[in-house]
Amino acid sequence: MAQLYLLAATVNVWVLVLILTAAFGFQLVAGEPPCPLCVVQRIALMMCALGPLSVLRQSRDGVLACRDIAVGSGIAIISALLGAAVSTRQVLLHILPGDPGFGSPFLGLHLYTWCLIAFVGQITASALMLIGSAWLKENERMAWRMTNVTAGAFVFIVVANLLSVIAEAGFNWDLPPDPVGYLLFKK
Amino acid sequence: MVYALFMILVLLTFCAMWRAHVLQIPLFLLTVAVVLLHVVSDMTTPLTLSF
Repeated sequence: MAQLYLLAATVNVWVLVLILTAAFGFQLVAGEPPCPLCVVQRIALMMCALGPLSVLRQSRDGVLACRDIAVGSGIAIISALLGAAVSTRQVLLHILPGDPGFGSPFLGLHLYTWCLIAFVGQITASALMLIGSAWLKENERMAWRMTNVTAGAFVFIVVANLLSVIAEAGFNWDLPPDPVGYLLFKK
Repeated sequence: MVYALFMILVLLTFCAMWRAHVLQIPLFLLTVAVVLLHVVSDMTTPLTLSF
């Protein structure tokens, strides 16, 4: 059961990293820098990943306890609630008929709508992991090799977003409401 | 820059978590609090963060 948990936590982190990578790729390919609310949603996605990463971290010691899963799931659920509040706000900002929304849609939905779906999915996944912890044997010993690679991918995408947002904001405290470029490189 | 600070807080939380430091949960809660404050301040003022 512990191995199944670690697999689920690893898949969870990789899904979040892939969502962040896709958003980052969309930003680079479509040439649309993220708006402030989009950046906050990305931060919430990063915070969601901290939950399963804390479960993976505990596995490095070779033992997984119910407490670790409870803490990890709690972190992910709180972060997903925060992200869902932000993406719901952005959906509501563009809900009036005739509003084209912000940015280009992807598969018919805007990125903030996809984000809302992702946050609801994260809450569901974390809740299922919490329920499943009832079947976890206390102090079950196991080995897991994917932890460092998964953590490395997470750090890489966070640092990439960090550099991107610094380039986008330049020396300003906040981002412009409707960003069109990277202020750090503009004279 | 404010968003860069939030991301640095996420990285700090991750580092504390990775080292099993006692500050991992306080740092996470601090990150949640500052992001929440930022979002609430946006929601209670005329449209500034969006679109």
